[in-house]
Amino acid sequence: MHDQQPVGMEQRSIWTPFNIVTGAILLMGLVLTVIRFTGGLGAVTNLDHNNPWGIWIGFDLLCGVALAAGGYVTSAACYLFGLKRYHSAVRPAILTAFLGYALVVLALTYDVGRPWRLPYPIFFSQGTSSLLFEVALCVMLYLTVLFIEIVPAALEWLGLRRARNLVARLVLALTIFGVILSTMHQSSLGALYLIAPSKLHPLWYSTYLAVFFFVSSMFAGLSMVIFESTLSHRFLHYKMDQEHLDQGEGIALGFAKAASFIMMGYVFIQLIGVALDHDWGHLATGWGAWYLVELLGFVALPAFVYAIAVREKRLRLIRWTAVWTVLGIVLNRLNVSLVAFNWQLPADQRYFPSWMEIGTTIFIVTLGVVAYRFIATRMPILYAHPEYQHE
Amino acid sequence: MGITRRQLLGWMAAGAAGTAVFPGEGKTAVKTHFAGFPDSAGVLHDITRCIGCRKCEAACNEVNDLPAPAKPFDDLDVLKQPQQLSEARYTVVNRFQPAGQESPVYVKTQCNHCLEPACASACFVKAIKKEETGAVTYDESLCVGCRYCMIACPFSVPAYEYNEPLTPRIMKCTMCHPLIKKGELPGCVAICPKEALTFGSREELIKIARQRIYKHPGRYIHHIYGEQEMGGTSWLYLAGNPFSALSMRTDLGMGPAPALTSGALAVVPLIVGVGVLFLTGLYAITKRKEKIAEEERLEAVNQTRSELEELMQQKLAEQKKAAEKEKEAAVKREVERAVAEAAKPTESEATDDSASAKEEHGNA
Amino acid sequence: MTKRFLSRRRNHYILTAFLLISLSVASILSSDHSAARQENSRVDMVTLKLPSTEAAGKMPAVVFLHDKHTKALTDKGCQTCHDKMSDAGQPEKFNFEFKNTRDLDSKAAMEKYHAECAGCHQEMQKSGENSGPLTGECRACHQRKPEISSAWQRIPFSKSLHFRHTKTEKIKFKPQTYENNCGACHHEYDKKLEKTVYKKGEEGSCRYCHKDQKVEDTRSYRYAAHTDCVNCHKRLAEAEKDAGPFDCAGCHSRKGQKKIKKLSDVPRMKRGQPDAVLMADWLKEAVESEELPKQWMQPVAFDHVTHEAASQTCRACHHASLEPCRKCHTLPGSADGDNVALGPAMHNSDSIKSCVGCHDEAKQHKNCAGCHAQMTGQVFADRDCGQCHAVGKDRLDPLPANDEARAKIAAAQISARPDAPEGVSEAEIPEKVTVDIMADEYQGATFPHRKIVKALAKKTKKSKLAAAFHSGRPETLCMGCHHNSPASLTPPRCVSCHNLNKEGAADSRPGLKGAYHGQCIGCHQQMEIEKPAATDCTECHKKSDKTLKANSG
Repeated sequence: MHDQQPVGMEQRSIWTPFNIVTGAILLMGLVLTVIRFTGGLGAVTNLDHNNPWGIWIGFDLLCGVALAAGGYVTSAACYLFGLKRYHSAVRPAILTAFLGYALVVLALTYDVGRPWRLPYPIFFSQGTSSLLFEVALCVMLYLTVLFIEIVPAALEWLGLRRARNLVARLVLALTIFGVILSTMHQSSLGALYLIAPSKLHPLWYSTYLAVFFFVSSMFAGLSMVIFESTLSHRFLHYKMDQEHLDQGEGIALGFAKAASFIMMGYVFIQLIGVALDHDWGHLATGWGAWYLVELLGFVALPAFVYAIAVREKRLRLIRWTAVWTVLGIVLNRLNVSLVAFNWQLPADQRYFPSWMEIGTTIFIVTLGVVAYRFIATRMPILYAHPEYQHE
Repeated sequence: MGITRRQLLGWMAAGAAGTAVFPGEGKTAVKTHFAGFPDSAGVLHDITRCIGCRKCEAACNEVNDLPAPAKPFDDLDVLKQPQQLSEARYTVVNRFQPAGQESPVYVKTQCNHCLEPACASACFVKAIKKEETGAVTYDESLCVGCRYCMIACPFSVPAYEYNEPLTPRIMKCTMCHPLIKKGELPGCVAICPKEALTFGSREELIKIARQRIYKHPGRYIHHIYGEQEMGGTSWLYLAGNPFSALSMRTDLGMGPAPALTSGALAVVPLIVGVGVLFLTGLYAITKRKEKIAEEERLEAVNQTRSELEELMQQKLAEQKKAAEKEKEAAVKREVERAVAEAAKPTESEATDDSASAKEEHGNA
Repeated sequence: MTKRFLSRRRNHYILTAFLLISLSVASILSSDHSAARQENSRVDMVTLKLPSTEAAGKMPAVVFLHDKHTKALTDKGCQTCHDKMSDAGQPEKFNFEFKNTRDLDSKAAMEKYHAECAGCHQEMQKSGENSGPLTGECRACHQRKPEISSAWQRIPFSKSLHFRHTKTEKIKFKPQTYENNCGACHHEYDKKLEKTVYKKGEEGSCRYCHKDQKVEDTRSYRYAAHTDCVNCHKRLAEAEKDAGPFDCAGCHSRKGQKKIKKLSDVPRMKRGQPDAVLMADWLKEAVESEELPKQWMQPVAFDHVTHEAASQTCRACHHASLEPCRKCHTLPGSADGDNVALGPAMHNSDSIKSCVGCHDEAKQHKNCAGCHAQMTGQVFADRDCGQCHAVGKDRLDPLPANDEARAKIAAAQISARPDAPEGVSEAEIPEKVTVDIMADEYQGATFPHRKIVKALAKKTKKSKLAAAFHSGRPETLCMGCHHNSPASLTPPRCVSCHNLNKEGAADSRPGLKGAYHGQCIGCHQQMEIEKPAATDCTECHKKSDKTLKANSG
């Protein structure tokens, strides 16, 4: 909606700092892409025999999916729990989720050996005994669901009313389907590591790994919605309609409260996990300290701060806590996938990402930011389209 | 159509085998242990016999057409450094010097060919398979290159061609599957000068191993590594030192790898089934709640409106009455006044009366 | 715009920095610091650990370096830490328990340690000398993972050492009525006199009474040994006589032990033990009834003299006391012998104290292991009973009524045994043997058969055990390699039993190649013959033309 843009946006130079840095990152990404697909993973990554999965899985996949959980959490809250006051948060959350998942798939094309075979497990040879199969199937289906969920925004933008109405009718089915798919693959991402009890540190390994991942994805999603709306409010304020601006505070308060409860529960089930596996002894070690940093410093403490911030209606504190919680989730996923994985190996055999791996990850994240910006400045994401305002 | 009884039995066996590969999968009530395909082969590695000549490495390299090593296989100084399996080496020999023992111990490492392989259960395109011969084989034509098998393998066996840009493969020992199908020995077994490697049916090998332990109790640790580890492996080991002193993991447990994930997999259909019902139900409840709330609201509005209307009507009627009364009274007064005026007319009285009359009309 | 851009970039930074920090923290956590730590081991490391009390249980044990303290306190003497004790009529002794802490309960002992150790350190520091850790520096003494490891070595009181103590004139054992010094150390507790007394002819091992831990009023072995040995050594040293060591390293380091003079030829200990024993459980009964029982096992003539020479201590066989075996190990077994019956006591291959167990152990000597390690070991059914149970009926007539008569029979049997294993005449040994039945990549191997047999004969010649057990058959030595076939000077070829093709051998029997390599290399490894190296193929085989051609082409 060009006509809605404030005057002056059209004429600004393309050499803004944002564009320059973004451009540089994208350029670097392209170079790395070329190296990756001509020299193999060995040319770009520090992966080796003992460490087959690096940050492209640990961060891009695990964190990417966890942080994209906002999509199912918000749509479930709005459509299934009937919390209509969160309506304005649904579309940005779905868009973030869609982009998140799309980027996860993009990251996978870098990580797997033969990316064009990514559809193989679904269409060609189904390894049903693998949890990775479940992940693949769910991610594929959920990406489709998210696409269909976000498509009305594009159709509104393009003015295709009939198609848009047709798709909009699917909302309920899609939401239910999406929530189930999310439940399944959020948890099975954790369950991926169930096969390797001999490699993952006992404090992080648990038969409840799937539950941990699922529950933590809920508050990850909630916090991510808060965090990402903070960013939108700051940078894309001018795109928001009145509903969005009005509901912003309520969403933050409501989501923070929910996140606080779930996080307390999460801490509790983590402790049950420790108790069931008799891992108390490990708590006294350096690994135990690191585990407690993660569990207490990045879950219990932010949960507490959330609770206080909600009671005292301190929005700024909520937003910072959201960032804190998001970092906690990142920490957890990295711990499971990289830090506590292969913990028994001597230091010289441990994995540390190469700058090119980090560069590729930054490239992919940047792509996401650019895509979000592109879509959010054009399509009715942060505001309801005037023609469909009353739906 | 000439289906012989043999063929039919073969198919049946294959079918049964197919379901038996991952017996833990989806089964929660019945826990059965898969003890390997009947008569499947294995190799017994008697570590006490190995002299570390690296002939097995050389044979493996030749049989599998692997790239030539940087240092020749008869250079035994290589053993001074720890050796690791890689995409170019399906098997390696490592030297250990256990404390308080003069002579070194050599251990050959390669894929252990688990009875229920973690890698095969982890592969999401079924590129890795447990063959009836006992070998765990890899099909390059299906592999996506996700490397989950490497994560899954408790023995850290599969290697990956990291430097292959477009067609990287998982590389690991195949137990010389093509050779054993032809009735020949695996390369390493055939060449071993000390018969530190014995090829044969796994069941037979376990018997042989037990015999050796029984006959030479002082020479062996009383344990056949691989008989139970990770649910059993086709490759078995005998040693004179504790296996943990030979960098072999003794903390892997005796359960097969697929059992680790069967629980998580079994929950999937439950989540789908119960999830749809639960969420639809939740939606229905929410909707119903909204509907009831709406109805109640409407009813309340209607009721308020009718009550109000009634009240208005009542008031109106009262006012009408009052107005009529007033009118009558006014008429009466007018008449009286007219009569009185007619009788005795004054200026001031007339003005007062007309003002009050006006006021009353306004109120009505 | 710049501000916006900056804050966005800040988020990126935070994220990346966070990632980097968490990964580096993890790698620090997981790194192994012990490799970096210098390996430092000492002989005099004593771990002071009080029986757990509420207070003491929480701190790790104290690492105490005894020789370091002895050295630093040479001038002040042992009394700095150890009290003197004196028994009437006995020379003054140090109580080698720190400041009598032995009689204190844990808490009091802990307080005493704290006060004395830190107090002394403090005084040292005040007087400007080097001192140990002070109060407050808890972890300097209480170390969870001590930086020093112990290199402490047990010191066996060998026959040589024993003899030197018996014969020396420096030990003044009073009353000086005995030929030897036995009473200086050996004693027994007399309940009536309520003190320890020496009883001639009843000497036993210290270990019988002095256990690892103090039992009732009997001192622990450690405490008793230190009190008696160290005090005596020290006293002699003060009298400027050549005395034994009294610091930790003197006895408990390898270096110190090497310095101790060893006699090569130690005379027998004199305690009235027999030279030869006729062993049979039925003898006493048979003598009483004056006839040989219907079911009887031929007695064993036991050569006590040779066994004494072959073992370091009496305890090698006698464990509870120096009584004859049969006293506790009766035929059906008795509570005194822990219910180990006579048969198992002599034949249990798992126990080093039994005949069979000890002989099995002896076969692991490198001179023996070459052949014996290849043989099926420790399966009782494979043993030849007659090898030991060899005293025939003719020698038992008349039945020997007393120990003297029995010893005579046994001695006669023993003297009939060969002094050395019987050899095979050189002419009967093939000089060279060539094995080329499966030459392929390598040519056949020709090995010096006669040389090998002669080397084996030489090695077994010295062994009395081999002389006794290889007895009778000159071909016994051949069976070291030509195993499992009937004993013969012309044994069958290896291929008679071992398959040429390995695939065929489905049983545990090795194939021919495995059998040859197993036999040759296995024997060389067991006998610690380093050349040729097991992995040096060409030392025994030449490369065949085929291989050479393939390599050059």
